[in-house]
Amino acid sequence: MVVIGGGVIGTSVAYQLAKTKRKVMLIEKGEIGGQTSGSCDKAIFLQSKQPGLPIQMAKASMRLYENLEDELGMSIEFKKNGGMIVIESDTHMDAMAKFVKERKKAGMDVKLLDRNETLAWQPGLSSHIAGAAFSKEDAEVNPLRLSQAFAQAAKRYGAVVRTHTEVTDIICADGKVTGVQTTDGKIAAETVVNAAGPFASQIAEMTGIGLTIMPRRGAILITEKIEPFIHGNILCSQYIAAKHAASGDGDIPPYGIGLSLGQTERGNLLIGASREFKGYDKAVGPDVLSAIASHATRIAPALNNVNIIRTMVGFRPFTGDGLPIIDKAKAVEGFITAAGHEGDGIALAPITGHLVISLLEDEEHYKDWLKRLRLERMHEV
Amino acid sequence: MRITEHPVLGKLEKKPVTFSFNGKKYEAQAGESIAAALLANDIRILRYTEKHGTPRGIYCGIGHCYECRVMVNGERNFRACITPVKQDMQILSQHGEIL
Amino acid sequence: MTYDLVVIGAGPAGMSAAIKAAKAGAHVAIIDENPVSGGKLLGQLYHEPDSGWWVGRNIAREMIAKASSLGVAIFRKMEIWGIFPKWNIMLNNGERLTTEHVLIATGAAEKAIPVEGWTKPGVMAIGAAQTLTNFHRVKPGKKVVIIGVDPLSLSVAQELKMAGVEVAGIYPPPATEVSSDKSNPKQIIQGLSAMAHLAPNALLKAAGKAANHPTIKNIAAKCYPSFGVKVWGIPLHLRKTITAIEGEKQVEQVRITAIDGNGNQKNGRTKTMGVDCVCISGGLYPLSELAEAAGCDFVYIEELGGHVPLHSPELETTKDGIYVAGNITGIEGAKVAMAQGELAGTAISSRLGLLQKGSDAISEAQVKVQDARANAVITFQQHIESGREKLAQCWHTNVQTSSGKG
Repeated sequence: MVVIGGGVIGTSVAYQLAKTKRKVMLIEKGEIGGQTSGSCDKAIFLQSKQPGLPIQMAKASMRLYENLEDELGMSIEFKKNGGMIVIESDTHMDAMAKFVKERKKAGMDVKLLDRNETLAWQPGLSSHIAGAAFSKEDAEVNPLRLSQAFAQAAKRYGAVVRTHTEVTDIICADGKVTGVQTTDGKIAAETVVNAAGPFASQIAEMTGIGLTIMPRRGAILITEKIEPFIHGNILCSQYIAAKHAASGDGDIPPYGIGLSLGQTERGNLLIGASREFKGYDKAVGPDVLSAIASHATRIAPALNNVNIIRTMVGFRPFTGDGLPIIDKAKAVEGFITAAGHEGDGIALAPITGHLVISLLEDEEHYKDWLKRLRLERMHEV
Repeated sequence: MRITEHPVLGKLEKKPVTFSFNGKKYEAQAGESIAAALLANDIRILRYTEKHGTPRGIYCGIGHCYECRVMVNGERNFRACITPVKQDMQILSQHGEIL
Repeated sequence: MTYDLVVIGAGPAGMSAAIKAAKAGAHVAIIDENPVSGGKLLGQLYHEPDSGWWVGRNIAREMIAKASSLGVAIFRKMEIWGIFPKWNIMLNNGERLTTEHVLIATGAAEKAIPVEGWTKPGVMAIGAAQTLTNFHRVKPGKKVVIIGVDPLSLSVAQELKMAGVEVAGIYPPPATEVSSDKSNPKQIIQGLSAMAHLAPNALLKAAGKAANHPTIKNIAAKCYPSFGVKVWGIPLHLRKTITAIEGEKQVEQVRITAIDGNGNQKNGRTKTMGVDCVCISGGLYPLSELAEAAGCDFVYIEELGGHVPLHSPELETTKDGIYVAGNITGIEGAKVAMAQGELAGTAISSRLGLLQKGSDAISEAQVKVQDARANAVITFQQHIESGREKLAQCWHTNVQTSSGKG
């Protein structure tokens, strides 16, 4: 079996395939975690997910995270340190109260904090903040370490990992996958898992399957290391709007910016992020970067004194309905899609590996979920 | 630690200025970097790391490694290796605090 | 502000280019983050066989005067936070410079050798020690050891000694999983062949000359005395290494361990020596973040020092209007950087229509670069010529592929 894509999704899938004694080769065109997984933030938010399937999957994934460090035998900097969605103005309070209520109903541990409670937990925030939704279930992980840990663990179970190798074609005969052509030769395989994230439609194209996963560009600013400043991870209530709004729903900030704020193990702040459809062009203009920075300083004024040392830009695989595609292709036997997680790839990486196994083995367990993650749903709208 | 005589470069022209580091007064030569001025006064520890508080001094000397950041007149993040010392400059070691 | 050319980096390459283009009539700005222009020239001091002492700070002073008299706008203490098409240079003070031609001449940085204890105050890059000594006239330490045996470290060792610093020894770094060449006495002897003509010691001279002969190289490594060989009175060790730098808050002593002819540590044989400064010489690599940010294509060429922006014989990168000169194109001396700067300045002047029709100024400038390379007193990278050839080949292939696409 071949897995295409060495991000958090591809490595998770390769790990589960190898662990269940399948002969696996993971093919990555660059480095492990070098694209989307290496240019995103580290938060695993549960409360930001929509009630229903998104929350159920995120919760199942979180349960897998609890023991993942031990299982993979490497630190992935997983911490269940809580998450907060800050509410900037009183006008958002009502909507967020509803947001919290819905999530409580879905069985989540979320509460609404007022201004004082918010500032007590995050003293670095501006005093104009109206309040926040807080959940101690939210967590974080280092996505680069996560993808490397999955890849290493997959190798221990016998998987072969080929980096700097690009898939140039998928070879099919009689409607079945027989192998892949790469920049480093041909590899025979009866099953190919397309975990190429924002590049998944290009891979699917090689088999003639149309896959509408679009690259949604996101830029994140990285600051110098500073003393502990942000506790857990922060989203701005506008993030929820930016994430779930398809286009211009009134209160949308420019460049689709929804603030996310977190501090790494080493002390750098990650300040995200914009959400733009610009094809595969990585050249983000100065106005986008400035807009992210000014939003961040509005939420946390002390950041005015902090230097930005780098920015990173990546593409999130966007499907349009907030759910990934995890499905067998009907037209081409042996071609499996596991892509389109957009901003939820980190949260859903562990469960995605299990879902692919379940799909391959035609298990009952996740059948209801997989039904909703089918490829065809994209054409049914 | 100052090289006052040099076989090729000759005698050092002195233009002394005074500055303070962590509250103590020192003498420097006008135009030289903060790191050079402190080293001339036998001071190597410029800052302490954000996370573990271990000491750091000048490393690369070209402003690239950012190990020598100090606070100057109340403002953070001046690279001691490429920031010239000036008369009455107040320099403090940084610890990663931002407020 | 709009300029015909914005030069990034006021070192030997950037200054030469600015002067050349300004002379031709271009409106030029130079941006540099340092308070004094000159880049690495400021710390340079070495003796040339024919023309005497090369005092870099004097050369820099002349170039600054020249550039100023030609009306070049020099932005000092200014950082660039971004470069955006086509081309906007964003300065840290909020200013934006607009230009069609950018020369990135950001030079090089030093690779670290992470010996145990290397983050302690008192440990510094060899280049920092050089600038402190020759430019600021401050001793980096009272008693110094140097880790890393290469042309730069030997040259700085001599400069330190001249300034009255006690240099207690030059040692190869301890071998690690990732790098062993710099720790292997045989490889070091081979590397020193690059400076055989100015080796200050008969044994080294002989070893350097014979270094390409495998047997002699082995004998030289094996027979190298455990107490070292003195160069300019400084012990140069090839059979000992520094395994740790110790001290409570800052450098107090180093731990020295014996190694065999292949660089492997011999068990148990360690001793300590009191020092207050350790200089690390891990070699240089091109400083190319800005070219990367501008979207230039890169190639990895070991002989040039690592990843370099792919560039044409006229020093233009794969991004229209972005040029490179100096150490960003490969690790070489200041004279090559200056010649490259003149070439870039000439090529850009030509693009601006400032050269006379039929002028062969560009090819003349190209010949000057080759001459400077051929006459270099110190070569920092072995096989620089073959590195340049590889780069030319890459450019050629690139041109063919992209014209094929069009």
